[in-house]
Amino acid sequence: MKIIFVVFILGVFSTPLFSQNKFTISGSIKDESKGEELINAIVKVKGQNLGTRSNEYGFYSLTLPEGKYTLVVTAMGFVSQEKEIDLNKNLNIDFAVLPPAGEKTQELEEIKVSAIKQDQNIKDPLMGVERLDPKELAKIPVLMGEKDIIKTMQLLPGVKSAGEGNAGYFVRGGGSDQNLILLDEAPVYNASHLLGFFSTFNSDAIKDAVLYKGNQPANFGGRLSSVLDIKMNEGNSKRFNVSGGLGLISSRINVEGPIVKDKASFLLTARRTYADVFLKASDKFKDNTLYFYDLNAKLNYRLSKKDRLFVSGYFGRDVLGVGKTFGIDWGNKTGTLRWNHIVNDKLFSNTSLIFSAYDYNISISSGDVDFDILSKIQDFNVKQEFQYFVNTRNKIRFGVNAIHHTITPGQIKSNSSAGINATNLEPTKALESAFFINNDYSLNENFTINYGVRLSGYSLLGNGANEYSYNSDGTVKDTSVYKNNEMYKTYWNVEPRVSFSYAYSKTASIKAAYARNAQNIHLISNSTSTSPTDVWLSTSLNTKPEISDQVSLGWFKNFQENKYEMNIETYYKTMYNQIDYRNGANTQANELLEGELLYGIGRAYGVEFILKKKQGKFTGWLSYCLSKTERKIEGINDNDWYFAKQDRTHDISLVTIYDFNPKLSVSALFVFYTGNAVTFPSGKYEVNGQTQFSFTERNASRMPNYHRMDIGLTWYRKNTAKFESSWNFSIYNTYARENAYSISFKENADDPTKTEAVQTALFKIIPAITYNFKFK
Amino acid sequence: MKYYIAIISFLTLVIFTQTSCEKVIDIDLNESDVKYVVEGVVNKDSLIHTVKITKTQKFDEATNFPTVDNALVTITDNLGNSTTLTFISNGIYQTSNYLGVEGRIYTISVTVDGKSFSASSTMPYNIPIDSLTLEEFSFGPTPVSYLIANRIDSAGIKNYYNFNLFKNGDLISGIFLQDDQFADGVEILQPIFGGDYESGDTAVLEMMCIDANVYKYFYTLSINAGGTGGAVPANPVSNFGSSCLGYFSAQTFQRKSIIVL
Repeated sequence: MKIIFVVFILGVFSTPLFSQNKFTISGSIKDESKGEELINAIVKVKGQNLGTRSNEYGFYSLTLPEGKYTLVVTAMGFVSQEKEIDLNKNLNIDFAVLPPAGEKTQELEEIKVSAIKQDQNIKDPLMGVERLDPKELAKIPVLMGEKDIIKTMQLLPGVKSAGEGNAGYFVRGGGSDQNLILLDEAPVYNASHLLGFFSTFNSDAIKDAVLYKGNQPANFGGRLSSVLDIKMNEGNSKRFNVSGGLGLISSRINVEGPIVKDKASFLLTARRTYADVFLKASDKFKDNTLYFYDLNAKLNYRLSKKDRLFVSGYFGRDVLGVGKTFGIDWGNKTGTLRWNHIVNDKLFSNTSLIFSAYDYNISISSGDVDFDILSKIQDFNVKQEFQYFVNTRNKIRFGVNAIHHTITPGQIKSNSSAGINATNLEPTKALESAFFINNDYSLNENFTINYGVRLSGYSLLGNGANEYSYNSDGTVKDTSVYKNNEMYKTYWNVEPRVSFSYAYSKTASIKAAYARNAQNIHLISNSTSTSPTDVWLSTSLNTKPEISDQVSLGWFKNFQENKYEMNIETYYKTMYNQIDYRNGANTQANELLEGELLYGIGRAYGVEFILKKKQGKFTGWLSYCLSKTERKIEGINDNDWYFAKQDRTHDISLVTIYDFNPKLSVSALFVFYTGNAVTFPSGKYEVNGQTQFSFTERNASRMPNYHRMDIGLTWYRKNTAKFESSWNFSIYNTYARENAYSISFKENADDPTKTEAVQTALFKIIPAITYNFKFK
Repeated sequence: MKYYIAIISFLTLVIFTQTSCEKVIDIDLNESDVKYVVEGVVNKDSLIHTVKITKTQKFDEATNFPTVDNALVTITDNLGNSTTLTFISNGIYQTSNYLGVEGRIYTISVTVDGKSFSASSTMPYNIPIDSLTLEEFSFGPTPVSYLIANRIDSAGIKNYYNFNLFKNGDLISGIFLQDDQFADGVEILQPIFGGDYESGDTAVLEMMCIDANVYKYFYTLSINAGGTGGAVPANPVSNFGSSCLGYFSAQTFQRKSIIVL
């Protein structure tokens, strides 16, 4: 700890102190056409290597010695702007940049813009960061034509899909619950719809998405493997518009506009699938329901020049039902209230109140018995963060965060006395707190470093119910009771993080990073695919905080004036207090759930490679990842190392987009990966007259290789001042490869003495069509 | 409960992926050493109890499980009553006059080829079936039928039930289990799917009250049937430990039948 603070202070104050007067220029950078603030736009001093970037709320602050300067503002996809200033006092300057006016100028401008901006990958000290532009997503073909930020992310190195068409993902060998997904700062606990075929994010509502693969700055925490930070659009504050899309299985609409021009605006985005409409048409399935919907809403209000208020929310629900007999519905709710305050020209404050919940409800009605099973996780979250723009070399972020968790593992409600007992497991309660400080420091033009520390605490709160401790065989050893809200145990973790970049030439750099992460909310899933009924579990006296240490090293190189970008990163990650189930565990509303768990360690390492082409008519990327991830858990696999289920040796993605002209763009993607680790039988035997299979080591076999190609075409039709439209066609799995979704072992129907492996493939070839429109 | 969730997941997949297709594939499997498989049962009120001993086979061999005919098998209860089983044929060993009594703890010992295996099981108190009924719900045009073994669970005691289903005399493959986690001390109306009975069929249901370890054994065994999409398969946790495969169950036994109208 001490060392970190010493380094910190040295970093901040070791900057040479000029004797001359210094002044600060601050303000906001926004898109003049929509009034939306721009994230990560650059303000640079012309002719010098001094500059800064706008933060996530479009705010920038730049401190320079007294003098005359020309400031250049650049942002991807916008015409750059210059402004001459005479700096002899603190200045407040707001920039409003415009997208290129005509089609022809676009290319030219982009090159101009990107020449400055696109070497960010070289200079930025952070490693393992992927930024996704929602606009680019539209052109990439996806399953059933639903553009999807998470599925596109799975095409990046080090991010693996949880299975065919699945929105679950694994980052650098971690589990799917080790990914923190934030929507306007609110954690989203289950990011998938319809058992994983769609993600919960409607890309129409998304402004920006950044994925940190384990080396996140200290202001993020709570998960081991990654943080996906998604920000919603704010809503056009200049003019009202309606846009939307009609697709084969879903439609979406987006309404935004000013409430008070330039002062307040709103955004409302909705999406609903209508597979159930087709079900209605079919005699066979007409009594069944199957749909999901999403609502995103955001309001923002500029209280004064220095204060801004944002209210945003998400509500999504999946509903599935078979007649009146069975039904299950599940979904996330999030709400964020934020207040931005510019304390002074160097200090920016953000205060957030965040609510987040995930729940599922199963209702069953058979014969005379009706009952419901409910499960819920709910968070109340307060966060105070400051960004201190010390000088051109140091940018400090510090703050505190407190989250109150309530986890209701399972309640059974019944309408009748017969058949089922109402069961009500007491909710688990905990208080998660964090203090963080982080500095982004550039020693000189070539050497930048981002370092910080997060102190995270996790306090267990009593709930008046039994807390159990367990023997090594999982039976109850002892019982204790803690009073309601009594804080009976706190775990503290110090999580240092550091990453630096050394640019040894104008177009190449070497980076290295180390980060420790701790995690206190665990998803206990023993199946390969995520299910809406997976159980979240809090750290407790039995389950210790999961901890990971990750070191990584990378080489970043750009070619041909940053037209091509190549990154190679390697990582080695050690994980402690990893969790797995005992064989045959009962996870449903089980009071003694922790008796079904086993704990151990994990390790993951690999190399990631990506080559991107970012400009011109032809764009895209090629990514490759070679990796290994293993676990060692007492009681599993004779206590030997075994492959984690998400272990996959080779993973290749190729994404290509070709813009023939402004009206027509085609795209193709190809994915190849080797099989995940699975447990296949090693023999067979007979029990009760039925053939059963015997097993030896865990996850010692492999699924077959997976590959497929998707193609897409986007055709832009009318584009007038009032209306524009486009068609999107796509074919998923173009060459109809039968990829194994699952493999089961069974007796041959005709010859019961023969046992065979049967592969199930989900999708053969799936064409889709979507019509998009926009009224301006 | 697990059944409902499994059914719902399955139905979603069915509805959603009308295009899904199956095919038999060749897969290289790891091989393991041959293991002994012991299936032993002590039934309530019965004098004759059967133990079967076989061996495992390789996955791609034609199924014909080798029987073990040279074992020494004894059963003892916690009161010290002991019996040695007589070899009948094809791996089958039987008692001739040994009464199974509720509440007693039974221990089996098997010695074969210099190896020995043992396991214990407690015979639960019987929960009598009041009636067997067949009901159905409509999933599309073809209704899905299920059986209900109506009975009153005993309060304050964890009860576990294992079922064998027969349709017109044929054993229906699958593992059918229930417990009273959500139905302690009340009338149990939980459905048992799997029979697919139609009008004119004779449905026979055998219900065994089993102990917690045997329940866990069959529950784990049923998970293995889920294929690679489900939980990680493993050899079930057996009351024999890991020395051999199989189980030993002291259990109660009832049989009911109905003719489907």
